[in-house]
Amino acid sequence: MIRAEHIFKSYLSQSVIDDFSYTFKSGQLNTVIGASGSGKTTLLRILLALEPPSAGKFYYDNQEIQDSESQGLNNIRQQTGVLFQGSALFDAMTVYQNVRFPLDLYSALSEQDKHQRTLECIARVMLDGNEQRLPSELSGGMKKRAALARAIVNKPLYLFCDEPNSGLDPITSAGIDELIAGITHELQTTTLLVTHDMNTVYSVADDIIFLHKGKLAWSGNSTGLEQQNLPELQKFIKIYKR
Amino acid sequence: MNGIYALGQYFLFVAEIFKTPKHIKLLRKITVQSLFSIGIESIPIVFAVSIFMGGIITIQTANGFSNPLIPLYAVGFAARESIILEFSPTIICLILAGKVGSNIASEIGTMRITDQIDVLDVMGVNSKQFLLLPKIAASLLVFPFLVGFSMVTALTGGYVIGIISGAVTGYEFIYGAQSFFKPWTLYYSFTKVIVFAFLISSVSGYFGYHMKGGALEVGKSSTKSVVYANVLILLMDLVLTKLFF
Repeated sequence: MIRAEHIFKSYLSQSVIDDFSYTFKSGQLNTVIGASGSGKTTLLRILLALEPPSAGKFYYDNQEIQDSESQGLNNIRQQTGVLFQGSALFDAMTVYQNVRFPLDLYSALSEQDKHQRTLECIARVMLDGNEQRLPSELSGGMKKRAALARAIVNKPLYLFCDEPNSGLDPITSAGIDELIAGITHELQTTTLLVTHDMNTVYSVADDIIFLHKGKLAWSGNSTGLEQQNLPELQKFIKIYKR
Repeated sequence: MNGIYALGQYFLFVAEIFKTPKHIKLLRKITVQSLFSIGIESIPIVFAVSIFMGGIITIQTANGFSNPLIPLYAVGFAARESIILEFSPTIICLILAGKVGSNIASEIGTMRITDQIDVLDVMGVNSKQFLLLPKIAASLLVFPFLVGFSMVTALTGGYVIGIISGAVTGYEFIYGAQSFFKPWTLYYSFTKVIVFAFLISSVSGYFGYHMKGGALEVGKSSTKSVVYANVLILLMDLVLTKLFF
């Protein structure tokens, strides 16, 4: 569980996140939606402690985190997986090396078990046979899947995905969505998925958070999404529903 | 004011790099890879520049020593002094700032704009140390070898081209190159190389790490890192020369 309390963020005088409070539940796919510039990625970066909030606190379970210097953050980071928009695979490493990298950093597993776990994760994202390929030799969808395998190799408690479907065709997108949802339920991770793809929202989201101009404008599930009458959200759905 | 801020930020950046490392095995592995990319891949350019510059120094020195009162072996002596004291440690490091420095800045800058550095941070890795310590260590280890190689190559170039061009005889060049040799000149040269190696790798790493924007800014930060490294090399050259002489 990740709990945000009164998070504010502004750059110079421009407010980007305005008094955001929410509890992201574990074992659920928490989907943050909103138009471009609504503050989704900033919120994700704050919760990842990559950027400090201007004000407010957030908690990973009961551990308070304020910024990248917070005590206990390192332990939390060892239990965190992240999938960035551009996949962020290490260019100089093969798929196998990328996926294995977090295990080499922290895992107490034996060499054989690390190897097994790496191959397991590569197979889980259906990339078997591509272990020795470099990121530059992969398609967009394959890169995302490799990055997802790297994100889950340590069996994380917290999984963050920033626009995992951007630049992908609908079929590949659906595949990525199902993988993320499956992993969330299987590992009982607290998953935060930032997107503006309404197909993702309708097909896999357990919990939906709508950000508008940095404010939490609405939250609920996909059934509630159909029934709400918030003009900004209705407009957003109309634009982004394919 | 910005300059003071940047200088402070640079020192904090360097302090972060030299914190007690957590992943020694992994860092050692990357250092070995960096030794190859920084060292082996720089040999061709060091060889080409040194061999020609050795020849040019010899021909120009011989031309300048046209006075019959100056013995011709002075050409070998002057070429050796120029090569050991200034050409190999300073000019080669300026060239390496262009090759190695821009490479480090653009590599790390690209990692910054593609979120690879953020991934390291999220994994709880000290990204500054992880990316820069192996490169600094590799530079400190390999630059002295490259400069030593440059000294030998430039003297060989001076000898061969001096003979071919008729500027000096082989015997006179070797006699001159062995005359009045003070070993401490090597100590002075290699001290400079160590300082320059550190400056090149850390300054270019600093610019790459702190870049913001897209592909265009990667190019800009790479250029900026070379310019700053070059200016700092010359500044430190002056300081060290004043201290040694």
